[in-house]
Amino acid sequence: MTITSFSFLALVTIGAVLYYVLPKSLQWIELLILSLVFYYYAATPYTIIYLVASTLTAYFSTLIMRKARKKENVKQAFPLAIAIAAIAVNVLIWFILKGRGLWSWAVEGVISHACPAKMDAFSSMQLVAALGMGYYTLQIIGYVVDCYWETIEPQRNPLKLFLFTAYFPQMTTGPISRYARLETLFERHKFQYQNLAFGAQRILWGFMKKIVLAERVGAFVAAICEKPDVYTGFYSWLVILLYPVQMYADFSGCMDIVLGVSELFDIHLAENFRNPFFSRTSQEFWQRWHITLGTWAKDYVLYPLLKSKPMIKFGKFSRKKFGKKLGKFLVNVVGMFFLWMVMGVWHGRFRYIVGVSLWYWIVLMAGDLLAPVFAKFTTFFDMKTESFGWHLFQSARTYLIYAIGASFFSLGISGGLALLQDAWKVLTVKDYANPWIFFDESFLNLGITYGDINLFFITVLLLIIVAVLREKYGYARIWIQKQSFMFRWLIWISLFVMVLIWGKYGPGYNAAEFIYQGF
Amino acid sequence: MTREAVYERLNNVFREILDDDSIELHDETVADDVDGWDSFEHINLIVGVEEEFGFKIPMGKVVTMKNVGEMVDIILELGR
Amino acid sequence: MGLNEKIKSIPKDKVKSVIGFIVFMALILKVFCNVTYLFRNVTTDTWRIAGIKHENVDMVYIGGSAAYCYWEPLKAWNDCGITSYLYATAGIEAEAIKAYMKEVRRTQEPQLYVVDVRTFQYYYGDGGAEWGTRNSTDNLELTSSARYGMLKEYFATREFKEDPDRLSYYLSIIKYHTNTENLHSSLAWELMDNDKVFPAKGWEWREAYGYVEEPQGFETDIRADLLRNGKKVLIDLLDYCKDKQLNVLFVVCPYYITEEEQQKYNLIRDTVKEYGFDFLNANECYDEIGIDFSTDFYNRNHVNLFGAKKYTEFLEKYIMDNYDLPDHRGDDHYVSWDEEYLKSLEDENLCSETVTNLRLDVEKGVTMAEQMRETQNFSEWYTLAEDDRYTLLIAAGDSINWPQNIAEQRIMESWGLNKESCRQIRVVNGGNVVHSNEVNQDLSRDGVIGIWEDIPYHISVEEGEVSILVNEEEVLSEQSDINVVVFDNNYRRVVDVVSLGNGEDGKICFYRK
Repeated sequence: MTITSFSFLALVTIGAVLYYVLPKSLQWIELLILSLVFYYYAATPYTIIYLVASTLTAYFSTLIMRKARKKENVKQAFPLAIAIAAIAVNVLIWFILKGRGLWSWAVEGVISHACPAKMDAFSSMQLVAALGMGYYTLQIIGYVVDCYWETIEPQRNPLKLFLFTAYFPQMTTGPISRYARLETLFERHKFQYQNLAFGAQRILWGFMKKIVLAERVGAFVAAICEKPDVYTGFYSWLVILLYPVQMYADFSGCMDIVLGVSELFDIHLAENFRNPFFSRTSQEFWQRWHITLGTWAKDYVLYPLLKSKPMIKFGKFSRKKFGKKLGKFLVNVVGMFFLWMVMGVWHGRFRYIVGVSLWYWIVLMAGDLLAPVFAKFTTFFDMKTESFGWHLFQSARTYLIYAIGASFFSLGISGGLALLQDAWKVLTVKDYANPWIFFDESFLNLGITYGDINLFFITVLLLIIVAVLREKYGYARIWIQKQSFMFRWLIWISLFVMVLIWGKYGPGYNAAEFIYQGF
Repeated sequence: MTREAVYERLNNVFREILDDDSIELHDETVADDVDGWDSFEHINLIVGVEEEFGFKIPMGKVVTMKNVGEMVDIILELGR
Repeated sequence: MGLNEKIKSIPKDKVKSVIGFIVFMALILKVFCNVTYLFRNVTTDTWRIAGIKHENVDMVYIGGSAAYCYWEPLKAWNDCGITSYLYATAGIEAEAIKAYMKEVRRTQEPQLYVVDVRTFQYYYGDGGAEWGTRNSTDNLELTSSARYGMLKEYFATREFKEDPDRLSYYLSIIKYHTNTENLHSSLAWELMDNDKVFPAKGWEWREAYGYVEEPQGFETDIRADLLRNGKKVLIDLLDYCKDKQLNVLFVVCPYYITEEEQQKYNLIRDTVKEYGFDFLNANECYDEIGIDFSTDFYNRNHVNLFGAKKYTEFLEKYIMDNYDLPDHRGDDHYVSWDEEYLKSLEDENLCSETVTNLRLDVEKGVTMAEQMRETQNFSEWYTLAEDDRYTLLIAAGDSINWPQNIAEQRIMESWGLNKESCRQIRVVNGGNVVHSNEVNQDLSRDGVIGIWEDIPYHISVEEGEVSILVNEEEVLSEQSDINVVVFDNNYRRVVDVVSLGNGEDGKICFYRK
């Protein structure tokens, strides 16, 4: 059961009706049951033990901390030790199951030296990770830390804490929620028409992004990447430039579905995207892209690190030694390294460490270092840095930087490198460019039609319009809500028909199957 | 300690650390309003405040404070 | 507080938003249905099924193509004043009969149902019936419970090897939304609301002819079981008819029937009669109908308009004798039937002329074959033999004679042969090579020919000796040279066998054994 499947929609519909029909005191229990049902159909059912394990470590560790703090003769370090132990257990489970890509090569190396015969046994020993492991592990860690910092009270009902871990809309793609925000799960919720309308609208918009745009672009990109020797030159550029569109439409489309579904239950989850492609810098980009991951890493990794004694000492020392500017830069270098490593490692594969961690660390550090040079450049040429053109340039630059990173984590390290090299050749090798592919209908060999191309432009245009409205009105739907009902209905019905017809789903129609075969 | 006194000392800390004498803080001031107040300087500012007022601000507060007004509330609460 | 006050106490804007919500959802549902109708597999069947809403008939004929090719409602009207409609879909599945009856009952109150049972004979009970099932259900209203009932029964009684993707049957837009070709079709747009009058009460004139022999020796007293759940589906249908006290006549119409099929019909007859319903197998009444297979069919399973005319006359007489359907002729409410009948006469004349010409064209093959056998001139022979009425089975042995004459060389070359050709096999139809062993060099070939693709042939050039069998009879053996068997596709028989040898002046002379 994926979140774009009919069965998921059916589950949500039935769930939402029950939610407001049942007594309000049972609402959180219903959510728990829905989550279990969803987990049963969407994941390998037995892996729910990992969620139970995580919940239990968090449950007991936080209660022990709380108890310990009430006694006066307990040392300060005790709660800290408990918190660290709980976090370590969770990280370890995650690392073994989900981070296999990070350690299996080392184990394989050892086995191939020590006893090669066992190699097959190791590769076939694939432990299945739990669904949403990356997301709920971070949530649980955040919960333990929040309790340790005493910004929240520990939850005394283990079932409620389990619901916080396993709340079904966010199991597949997040967002990474904070406990304080999700406490509303256990409250009573009154039926509000607005939630129903907004939720349904958001789900529809998510479907449009995911099954009309992302799947279409994805199929096209995949067709090119299947034969990198044949499709070179501008094809490589196309792939590089289309990846971000595909990923944004896919990921943010799923987020829209998730947030919309949750909205039906009057649970308002944190936003994960805020028009990332409008960002002027990469720094800003990551404040608008996968927001909940970025803020999680900032709050639970970067701040504690910077505020740790060694880092404060290091900061003071380097400022004294190298001066204010360079001193600050060095602190940044170290802090950023840890921040970005966490962001990359969390994805669980080396390609993300390269495409996210190292790439952004280098780009941002280089940007920091060269900032004065850029500033001189813009003043010298008298650039109008507040003009639309300059803003566009900055956004394009940010887009390209993300696209380059994306090449790595989509194609792997060597694949990404090969793609970038090929694209580079277009610029540097004479007669390598093949611009005619844009005009000679070559694309039609890649399993797409003119209809698909038109649809791509139409949907991207829609995305841009919605993004602009969002910048201006907070949400596009708030602007739509202010329109007359006829226009509103026209919009939603058109969107519904678009998704219905142009969505990529179902077995597909093949006219040949239907030629009269009755004889 | 009055709110005004806290603001006076706070302005000094910010001006010193961010190298900007024009800084004038209010209850509603947020990081985006002040040039150079990023995640890194945030911690430097916190450390500066701690040194100025002579007590530690717990991490939980560091993470959750939304604007300068809240920061002042915390200082007033801890300095009691 | 009284009810009135209670209602008054509800805030106005709340009432407004509830009404707005309901209207909006209704709109969404309507759009959903219309989009589904627009994108489904639209054929004249879709139209025929949709068209019944506008009728008010006493008799409904339900079945597959064996219904809508056989019964002429307007002719029956003119002959006996019966009002009838063809509620039929190509490839209808057995489960659909009951669903169609239910659907008919939503708009009609027929005094008689005629059900063609051929689909029960075709029932295999497996999942291979996707096409027929979709065809049967796509045409029904999305709001029809019969549609969902049929699908439920279909999935419950059949055995599926692979997951049949059930949901895409129930909500067929899942299957059809990629069918953007429909946007080019005016019929699809016109049927977007699943509502359009079908002229001639479901009858279409088909301009087609095919030569069929009369089936022999199919009569039998043996009863053969229907496959898998076939009988269960039949009994469900009979239970339904009995329960609703419907008046039903089960029929089998004339076609190229086999003994195995007749065995199944015997069983169906017994079952139907047990339930007290009437059963009529028209294959037992060829003389009474006066049907002539050589002129009245367009393929083995379907009559052309001449056959339909005879069958309709036969069945309407049977109905008049056994049932009490009112004669509406002269009734003011039914004037339109007379008008439509008159109009259909024009179409009938056109169609009858075309079908007759098609038949004469097929028959011309007989005289051409005679000419072929008489001529001694190869080029003249070939102009006759390259006609697409014939299939040429060509086989070259080891020693061949290559003609000197350029025109004759061209003919050989058009078969893909050359001077050195030996041990070559070709199958040529209408001047096109449809099979050649040039590439894989296979020394023998088995296949089927004839318009029904049912006549087996075997060609062998092993050891350089040619032998050809058609319909398991040897027509040529132990031959060298280039040999040609001419096969008449329509009559499905060999009409000439020649071997090409060397004559005077380097021209081909051919000889027959």
